[in-house]
Amino acid sequence: MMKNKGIPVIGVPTINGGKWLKRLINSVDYPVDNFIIFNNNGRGLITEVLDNFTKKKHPWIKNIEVCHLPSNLGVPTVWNLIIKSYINSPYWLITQDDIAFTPGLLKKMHEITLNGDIDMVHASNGWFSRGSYDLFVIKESVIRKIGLFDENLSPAYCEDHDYASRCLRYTWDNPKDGIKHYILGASYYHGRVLSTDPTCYPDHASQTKRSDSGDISSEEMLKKINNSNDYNKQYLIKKWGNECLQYPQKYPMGVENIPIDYTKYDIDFIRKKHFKF
Amino acid sequence: MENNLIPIPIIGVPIVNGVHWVDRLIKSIDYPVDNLLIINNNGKGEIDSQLDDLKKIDNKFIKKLHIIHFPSNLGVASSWNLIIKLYLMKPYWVICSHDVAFTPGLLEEIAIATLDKEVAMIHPHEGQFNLGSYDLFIITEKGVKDVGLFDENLYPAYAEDSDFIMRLNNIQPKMIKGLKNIHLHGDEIAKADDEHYKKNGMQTKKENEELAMLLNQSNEINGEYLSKKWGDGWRMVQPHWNPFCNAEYPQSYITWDLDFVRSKYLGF
Repeated sequence: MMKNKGIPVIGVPTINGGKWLKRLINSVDYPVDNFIIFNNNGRGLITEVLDNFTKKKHPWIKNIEVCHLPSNLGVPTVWNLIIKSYINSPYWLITQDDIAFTPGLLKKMHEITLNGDIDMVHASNGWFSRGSYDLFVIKESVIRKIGLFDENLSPAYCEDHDYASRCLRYTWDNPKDGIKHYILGASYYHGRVLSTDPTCYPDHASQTKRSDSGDISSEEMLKKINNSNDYNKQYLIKKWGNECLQYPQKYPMGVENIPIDYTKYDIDFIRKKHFKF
Repeated sequence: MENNLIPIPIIGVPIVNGVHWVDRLIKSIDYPVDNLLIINNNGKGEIDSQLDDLKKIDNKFIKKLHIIHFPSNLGVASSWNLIIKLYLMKPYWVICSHDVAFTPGLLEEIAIATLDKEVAMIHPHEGQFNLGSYDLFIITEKGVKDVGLFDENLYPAYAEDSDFIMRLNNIQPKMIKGLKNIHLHGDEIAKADDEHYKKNGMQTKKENEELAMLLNQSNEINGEYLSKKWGDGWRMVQPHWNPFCNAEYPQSYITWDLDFVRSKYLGF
């Protein structure tokens, strides 16, 4: 049984989200032991802005850390790093940089997480209705059952689809020990609007591709991200079949007796999607 | 500096303690290096400022020095993998222990050796039993493609090299073992004997007795893991053909066992 001590870790990757992160940090209204930002900018453009977050005392956060990386590691790799960096944590709350918590949301997420029967808590349903990954809690039980995120999906997109497919497949194969999701259906800020606003996901979320990033225009960033998305969709079909989010195939990549958490790091595939920073 | 030299793209160094060794390492660089990456695994903030001070060293051969301060010790295998992932587009990665120093001409010799694109691994020092030494080694993109990444279950340290040796033994890619110039490990030129290793290697342990005890435990537990993965023959470099004796598993097979990794946590 987990103790009600407060949130052990909030982790967030960012490429260009200085102003969004300020809003995110300011919205924390519940005790948090560690708030870790992984700086994926890779060009030193937001180093100072992020370092400033660590200099001010926060009424709710014990420790704000920023890890400046020399390049963009990508979303799944950073999500895994959040877990590996706080390896003894009973759970990890992972969020995007363009989120802001509404009053009481963190408390609610923490309290639901304390329920021993729940494995993952998603702040909203997500567009594929299996729980959103813009703001979610993942417990140690899930890592034990289906492993870490698939880093072949770096730099971004479809890492959530892969994980949702794995959750589904695991639960089918282990009905008594399946992964139990709690979907809050909460209202929180994602970009400029609330998550419950129907225009939120199509028009306001994914601020990384909607914002200029120093020497990279939003149009250029959008192109890079779409390229990654296209490749990753194909990968996902190979891994879980055409209807991965409805009926994921029995074994990843169709190889019999390969465990659900196995991935072969494919450097050539990841390189095709490299953002050049 | 000659203009026609092809720089070394990246040298990566994980460290837990003993910053003076890295100071020596930086000063020993005598050949163009595009990126020197130091991964601070101390996790307690004890060496952050000492490491940041290294940026003041004026070595004209180093284009960019990057230091990552992680909030905890990620371990050796994860750090080695991160060096590769963070410089993903590079053709090869030079990885070394913090207590290594380059002898004059060694880095140039490494740069020349990497021109052979069929080579998967380069070990400046041939190591014990000619298996290649992992205090300083070079893994090429061919190495990553054919052999895979390092097994992060072997956290926090020890046996990550032995696991890789088993895979190399099974795959038999082209390797270069033994260069003309050999590096310093600790206070002496690296040698393939136990006495030398005891005297000059394992500097992380020597800084802290308590840590040494925990690392010894990790070494034993990781040895047991290797027996499961490759069979007891791993100690004689006679591993099973497939990891965990499963014909479906490729040589690069790795999954990550949270509880196993946690069982070896060093407290930081």
